[in-house]
Amino acid sequence: MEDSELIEKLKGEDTKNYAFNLLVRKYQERIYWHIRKMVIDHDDADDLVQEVFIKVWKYLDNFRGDSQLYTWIYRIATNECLSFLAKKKKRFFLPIVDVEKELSNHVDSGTNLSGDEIHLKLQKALLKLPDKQRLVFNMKYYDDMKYEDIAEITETSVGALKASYHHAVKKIEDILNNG
Amino acid sequence: MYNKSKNKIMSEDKLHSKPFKLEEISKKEVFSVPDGYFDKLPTIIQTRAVESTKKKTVLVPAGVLRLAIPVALVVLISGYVGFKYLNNPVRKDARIEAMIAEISSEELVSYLDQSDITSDELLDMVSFEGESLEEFTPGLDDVPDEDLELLINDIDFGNENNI
Repeated sequence: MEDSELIEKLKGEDTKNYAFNLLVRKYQERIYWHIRKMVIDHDDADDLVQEVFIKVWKYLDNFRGDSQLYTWIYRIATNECLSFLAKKKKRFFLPIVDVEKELSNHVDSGTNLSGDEIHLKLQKALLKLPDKQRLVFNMKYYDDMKYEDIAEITETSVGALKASYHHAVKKIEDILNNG
Repeated sequence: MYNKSKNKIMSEDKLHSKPFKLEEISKKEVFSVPDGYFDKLPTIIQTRAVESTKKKTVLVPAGVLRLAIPVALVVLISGYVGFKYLNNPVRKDARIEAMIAEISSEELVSYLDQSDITSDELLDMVSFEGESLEEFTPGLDDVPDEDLELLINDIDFGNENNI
């Protein structure tokens, strides 16, 4: 079902529940993986993906349609991820390096992991990037999103995003070659 | 599962022989989820969403509650102590005295002139018990007896019961 049709059905009292179920089924995997790559742990990702869709449900009336439905949902997910990671750092009074270590340990622990060595190395290299740069990298590299859409989600200019992605790729390649 | 695969897959040997280039690494999902996770998730979310609609009560975040409870306790205790303090008879008198002390003598005289309180009523209100005359009339001892006599003669006592 197209997003426009989905939005129409979400506005109707009789069709709202059905349309919301379709919306969750349509976007759950994309949003889950977007979150999972940021928080690494499955349980955290599970909590956050549920929170994201509960917020979508709650604030559906606020969605005016001037952005695409999927960029709106991505924006909610992105904000949830960033505040989760910020809280995690604050809660444990941990410097960024320690949070990176903790997430890196999750990658090493092998729980729900299926990648081979190079991909695990890549994930660990990604953790060395600042959270926002990591988000941009993931959306561009893994989700193949257009810079225009990422700009809408992150409320950043396309030029800044291109520069951020370029630097991220350079850093990762350096880490993989020298780290 | 949402997973994009790329055809350019490089062997481990090749990767070790020359520098890594990101574009040459396949986009493989390294994480996995429990079996049937995405089949159950929509139902869990839908149930939570419907429940959140039913609950119309205002949810106070835990952080706010943690702050609100001690603040409420402090307010209650302060309120109780304040109430007790203000209603303490000794404190009450002290406060009244302090308030009167702030009023100038001129203002007091002017008020008494305008009010219906008579001199008799005023004298009734004042307790002289245990007080010496010196306290009310400082320097009285320094006034010569003749002058005092002249002063007393000038006063029209009218009714002797006033004393």
